[in-house]
Amino acid sequence: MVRDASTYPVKNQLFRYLKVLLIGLWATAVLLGMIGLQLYASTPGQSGPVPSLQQFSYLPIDSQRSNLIIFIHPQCPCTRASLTELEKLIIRSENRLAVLSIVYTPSKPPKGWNDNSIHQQLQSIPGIRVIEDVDGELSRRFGAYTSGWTILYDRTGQPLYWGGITPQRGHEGDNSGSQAILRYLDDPHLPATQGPIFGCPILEKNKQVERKAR
Amino acid sequence: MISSSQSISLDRESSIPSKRAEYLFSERLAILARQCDRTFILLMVAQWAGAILIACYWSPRTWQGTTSFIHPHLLAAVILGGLLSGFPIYFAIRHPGTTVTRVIITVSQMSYSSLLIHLTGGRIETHFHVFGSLAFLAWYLDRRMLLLATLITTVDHAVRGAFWPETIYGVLSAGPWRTIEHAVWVMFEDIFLIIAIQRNLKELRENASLQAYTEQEYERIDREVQSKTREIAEKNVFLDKVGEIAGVGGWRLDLQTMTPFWTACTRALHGVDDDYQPTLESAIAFYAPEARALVRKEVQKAIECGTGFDFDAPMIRADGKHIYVRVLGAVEFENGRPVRLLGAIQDITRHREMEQQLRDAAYRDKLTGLANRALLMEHLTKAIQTHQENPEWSYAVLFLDFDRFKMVNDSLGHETGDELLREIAQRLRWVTADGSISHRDGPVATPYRLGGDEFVILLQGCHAKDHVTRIAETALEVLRQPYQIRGHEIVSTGSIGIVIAGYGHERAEDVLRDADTAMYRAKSAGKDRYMLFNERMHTEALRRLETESALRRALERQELFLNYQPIVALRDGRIAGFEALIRWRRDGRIIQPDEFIPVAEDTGMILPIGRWVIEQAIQQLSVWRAEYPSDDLSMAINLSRKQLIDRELIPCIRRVLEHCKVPPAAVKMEITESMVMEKTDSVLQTIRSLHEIGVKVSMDDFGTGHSSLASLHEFPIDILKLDRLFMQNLCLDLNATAVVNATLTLAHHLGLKVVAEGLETPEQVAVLQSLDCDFVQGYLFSKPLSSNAVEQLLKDKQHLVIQKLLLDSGKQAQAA
Repeated sequence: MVRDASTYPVKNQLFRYLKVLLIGLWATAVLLGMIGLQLYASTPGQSGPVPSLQQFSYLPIDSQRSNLIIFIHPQCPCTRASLTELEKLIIRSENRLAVLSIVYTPSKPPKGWNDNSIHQQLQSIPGIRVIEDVDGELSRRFGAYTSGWTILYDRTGQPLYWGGITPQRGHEGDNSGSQAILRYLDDPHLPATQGPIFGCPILEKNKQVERKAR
Repeated sequence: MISSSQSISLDRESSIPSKRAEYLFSERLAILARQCDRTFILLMVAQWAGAILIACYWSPRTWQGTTSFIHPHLLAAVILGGLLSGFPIYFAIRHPGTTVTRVIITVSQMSYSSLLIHLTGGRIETHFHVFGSLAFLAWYLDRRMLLLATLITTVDHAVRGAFWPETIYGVLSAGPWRTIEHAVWVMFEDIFLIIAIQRNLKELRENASLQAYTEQEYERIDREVQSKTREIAEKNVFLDKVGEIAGVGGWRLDLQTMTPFWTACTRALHGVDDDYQPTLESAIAFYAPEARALVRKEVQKAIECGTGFDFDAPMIRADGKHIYVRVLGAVEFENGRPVRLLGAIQDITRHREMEQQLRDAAYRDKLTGLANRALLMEHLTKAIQTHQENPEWSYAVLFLDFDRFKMVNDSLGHETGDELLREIAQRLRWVTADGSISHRDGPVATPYRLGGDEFVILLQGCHAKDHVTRIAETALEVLRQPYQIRGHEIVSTGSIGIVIAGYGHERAEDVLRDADTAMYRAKSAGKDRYMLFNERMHTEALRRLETESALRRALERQELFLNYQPIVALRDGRIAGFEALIRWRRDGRIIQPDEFIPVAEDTGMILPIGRWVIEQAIQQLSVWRAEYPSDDLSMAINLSRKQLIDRELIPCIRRVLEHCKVPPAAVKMEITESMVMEKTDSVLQTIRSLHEIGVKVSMDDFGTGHSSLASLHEFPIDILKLDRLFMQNLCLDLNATAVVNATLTLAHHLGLKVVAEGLETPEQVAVLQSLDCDFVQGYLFSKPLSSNAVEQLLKDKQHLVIQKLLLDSGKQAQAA
């Protein structure tokens, strides 16, 4: 005979309390875990001051169009979302953007550094120029401490927007950065803004310290 | 089988126990919950593994420069996924089917959606996990879980939508309407799922009701079956007991497998254990070897013809005891085909023994131990049939009569007579069994006692006349040897009449009759001999048979009639009465009673004929007495031996006398001297009874038998009728006259009247007149006359003529 589940007998009161406590602990842990995940995703990365583009004449700048520079750590999984959003942005910009991707590359890169899915995704975006940033020199100078750091320059080389183009870390979808860039393309006279950046840190920890000291 | 709708209607009518239905419904829900719990255990394991795989694939590590770390997503997949999977798995295993488990599973499942969305970078496709989870949770058929899941989703969306709308709605800003829109879609699915749950619950409840109803019906049927089974068991016990008492057992033979089944009684009857399993061959082997072919034949015939059977057969029980059984069987059909034989078997050993005893009693003569008349008739009938079917096969009947037995019986007493009969039987037994006759290659000889001193030897299968005569000679030789009985030496002989088959006899009675005839011929020829029934006897017998046949019709055809011979009083010449004499008018010829009365006596027809004579004679007397009252007429009527022992005789006479209003004294019943001399109880009783009712008794034919004058006083008679033999010598022999004179004197002293018969001459009348005889009768006065002639005689006063005749006769005598 199968017992009615609702009449399952509890052995003793202590066990019942223990069970309730256990359930409470479990629920709390789950809730905290979820909050943690959310905080991880929604906490912006670090960034530095954004320079004018005139200082970097050696970079392949398009004087006829607005230039968009994106800094990428090729091993950062969160960057996939940035590249996806970049691709959407290029399409929606209707060839009004000249995109330059600066990819962090150590001076002694481990084997397969530039041979992964993120790199392949980058290569597959049409009309984008890729420059290797050995040891993150350029990134440091452009204040790009977090992968996915994007800077929009007008034709004169003045920064209009700097920050990320994802809503959260590693999350695709509508975001304030992409929308701001598209607004600047329509109206370059709008005041410059900064957006949050979500991604992996590009530079080593000591390099950041160096940056802070400087 | 009843449908769900029916079950519902039954439920409404409260014919189904609702508590039981509710319990079954709850039980099924609990089972379902446990099944779902087990499914979710698998799902949780799969989701955990999936989360880890996704994290490993999507974001296994995170980087800072060239330094990498384990990605927090992977940690979350392992740790948080572990929490989300492990805890429900634990509860599902430890507390399956409980609401708590379901709640934890629901919370975990919905949290998994959130985790997976995070792990996949917020891909919109991952959101479908939520809907899948709701569908999964709907398996529980628990609306509360769906509402809980919806609540978790709604809260999650509300919180995220408030702070990070782009992660929920895909847009940077979204108002409460967007949250409501999300909630509506989730509720849309919830409604569908809840409807599905409701339908499933309804179906589940109906099934529970149906099961409850089925259980109730099953229990009812089970109770009925148990009750019937008990009844059947009780009946079986009863039948077994009855069968045991009656020695009757049951059996069955499956014609498909040819496997027999025996009841306990049948097994007991065979003397085998209760666990004995018979086969057809082993069952047949219980029968005596000579009966097995019969058993097989009966069974085969029953199967082929579909008929039953009933036969008796000897059987040898397992313990070696010989019994006799009666086996009855009938064929049972299914769809017109015989499928089994069933029947009963009964131990009839006791019946057979009793039957044998009864048979012995019925067919055995108590005095001698020989077979009796009944068995002889049976065997002789069979022998006649066998001979008719196969004329080559023959039989013979030896009818023996021991000469002088009556004398021995009368002189030495009944006990000696009985002893003598036993000795005779013993000798005949020796003759037919172990005697000098070699009948091993000859006929089967069996002795029988018919009664009295009459014996019969039946020879069956005899082929030669010599053989038969040799047996007869041996029997005569054996019977001729002196007998030592109770100190007396008795020497006597036997007479044998033999009938050998071949005379076309069809009835045993006819054979015996003819053998009896032959035997009497042997006696007549001098005794101590045998006589073969021959063609002449056969012709006589046939004639006798013909007479017998015609006599049977004579009464119906009114061919019998009476003549009346006057009896004249010698003193005054007056007609005192008449003697009624029967005649038979056959084919225009008048037949005398000598020719047909013996036949009538042998066949027993004498009784109805005798009654008819009594009725006719008394009726006629009544008429004449009425017409001529002054004559005081009487009527003498002859009685036969068989009539004397007929119990109906006295009532018949009394009835006729009363009917005709005739005084009994006017009727005289005539019995022969030989009948009176037998002095048997029944004869004496009848004579006394006749006296009691007032009828006179007359001894007819006096002088022809062995009676003595000295013994006349011993018999209650009124009239003595002197035989005609005395009259013939009356005028010729003085001794004869002296004898008549002495007889008349003695009779008169004894108070008897005397009638002289057969008077033919006036001289005889004169002598009788001188001797003072009372009555005379004879052709001198009148031959027997018809009733009309007697009428005329009485009317014409013919007695006056007789008186003159008597006067003349007296004068002539005196002159002589």
